[in-house]
Amino acid sequence: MEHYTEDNLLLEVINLKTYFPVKKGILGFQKEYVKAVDDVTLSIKSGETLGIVGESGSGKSTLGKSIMRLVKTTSGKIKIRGKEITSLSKKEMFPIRKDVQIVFQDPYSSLNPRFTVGKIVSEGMRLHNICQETEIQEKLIKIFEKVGLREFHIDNYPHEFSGGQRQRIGIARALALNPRLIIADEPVSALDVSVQAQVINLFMDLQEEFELSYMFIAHDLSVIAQICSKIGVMYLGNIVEITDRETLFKNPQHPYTKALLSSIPMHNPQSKKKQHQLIKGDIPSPTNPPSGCKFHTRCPFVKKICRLEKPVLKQLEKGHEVACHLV
Amino acid sequence: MNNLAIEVKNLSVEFHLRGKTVKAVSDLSWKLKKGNTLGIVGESGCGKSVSAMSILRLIPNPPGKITSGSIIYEGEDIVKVSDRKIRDIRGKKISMIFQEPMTSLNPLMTVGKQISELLERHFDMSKKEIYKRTKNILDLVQIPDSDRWLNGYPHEMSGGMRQRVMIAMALVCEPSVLIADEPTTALDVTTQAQVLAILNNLQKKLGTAVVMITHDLGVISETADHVIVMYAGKKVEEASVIDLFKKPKHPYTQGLMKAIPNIDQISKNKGKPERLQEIKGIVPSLHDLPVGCAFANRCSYVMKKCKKEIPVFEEKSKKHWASCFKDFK
Repeated sequence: MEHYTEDNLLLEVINLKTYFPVKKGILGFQKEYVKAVDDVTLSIKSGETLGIVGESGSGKSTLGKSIMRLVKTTSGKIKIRGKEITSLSKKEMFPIRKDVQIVFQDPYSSLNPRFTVGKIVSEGMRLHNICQETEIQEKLIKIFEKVGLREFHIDNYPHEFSGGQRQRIGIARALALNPRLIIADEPVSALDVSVQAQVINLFMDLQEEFELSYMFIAHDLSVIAQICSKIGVMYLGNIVEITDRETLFKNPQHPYTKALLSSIPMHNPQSKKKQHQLIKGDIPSPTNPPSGCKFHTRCPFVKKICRLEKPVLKQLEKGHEVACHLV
Repeated sequence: MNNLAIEVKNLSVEFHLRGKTVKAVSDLSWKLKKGNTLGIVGESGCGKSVSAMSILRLIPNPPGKITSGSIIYEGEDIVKVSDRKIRDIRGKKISMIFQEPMTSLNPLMTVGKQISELLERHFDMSKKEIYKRTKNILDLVQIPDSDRWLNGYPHEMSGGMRQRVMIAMALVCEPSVLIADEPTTALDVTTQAQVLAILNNLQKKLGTAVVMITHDLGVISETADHVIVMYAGKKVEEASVIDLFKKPKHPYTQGLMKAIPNIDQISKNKGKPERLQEIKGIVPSLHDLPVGCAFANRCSYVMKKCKKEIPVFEEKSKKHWASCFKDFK
């Protein structure tokens, strides 16, 4: 194993909390909070791909947006290449944005319909002075080629493209700034299966070529597994289990991870007799999460302690952390 | 007695949009046995939803129109029956579950009212009986605290619960055919597993025949007995679910299966997973279909012939049909 020094840590998130206030009461004085991200700690090394999987409402997208500072964080630290960014002003944040880019879920609403895609992709390059004005066209052609688009596409508008092509434009836009880390928030969930495979492959190819790191956020565990070497499972704002891909599939420890794995429909009709390990109910509301372990309302192995005390992430073995009282 | 719940024969549906004719479904035939599940799988724009909507004559006309074919249900052709008659069939004998549970429920009506409305329309029942049946079906779809939810509104419910209400509405009249159009696409995996289990359970209890329309081969493999694969408005492959997954005989089906990350394999392999095998290109637009096989431009086995002629849909091996010039052994 390669030994990683502090410097190899591209991204560090320490005890991050992002709460959204909800006004209650007649005059709106009573405040409640939606604890979208509730005390998350994680890190991404250079060249690593971290997958964050969770159901809707688990806070996985808010986590991504918090790291990009697209939403205001409540407390905790975010460090990018060792530099703490949570307290930076807009101006100070600007040069850092070049290193961390995001690809959004919806390829239809995340591209400005009034810009040509060439302008969408090159805007960042101009702002960050990546290259001379004269070189921009040349660089655009290169990037378009890399993401599987053609040169003539540069002057087209977003509505002229299909969903898969638009997602490629989103990736090109992120790629144009030579980032170190790309946060991809459900980048393939709006796409058809056959196109989804194309985009996943593109992500994998680009990683190899540009030595990118990814934080890949998705609800689909099979997509995450395809692309990520390390996987974190989120539930109601917490990471409940985080480990490498092999361990997660062979030796999942948290009851929620187990349920998630067994809920995935298998592509093998002969094994359909296999009973799913179903969990009851729905994900509770994050405004009023259950006490103790947030999963206790749905957990089949719930014990008394689960209702009272919140479990913390414990290291089971190197690189395998679980937040559960029962392991 | 014939044991078919419903049969679709040579159905074609066209849409006339801005002077263009879009052939959403062309020459589609299938049969569904009583109590069985037929899976229809395909990507967006392949005509799977349109073919389902036309069974209940829900295609907006204009611009849509069933141009030919017949849908045989209980000895009658649904395409030709009167509007009054189709209203008696809808919801009572053939019902439908839609993809988006939020927009398919009426936000201004309580859940109980939306379900009991169906009973009021189709049966001559006392209020007491209606209440009992409504509560009963909510219990069957595992809505906890059904008494309270009878007076609840859809916005108070989670996505999974709403979809369960949709299932309750669809099954309260105990129809003989249920059309489920992407019933779990908007749901999370754990909720999807719950909803599929409930659906499966009720199907067994009531003996309903189900048409399961989805883009997810996993859902197909778990629920269907028999599967048809659609591409660009046409049926390209048909087989029992076991045969289809064992030996897909159309390059499109093969491609679809390889394009999905396979958890089984990934969890066995160490190290970096291999690239997925993608299907190149995109689905051709339906108003401008190529002359030959619609899949030719994306097919890795394409021959000269494929671009000139449309392959016949034929039996390739016992009870396994495909439309391709190539024979896959």
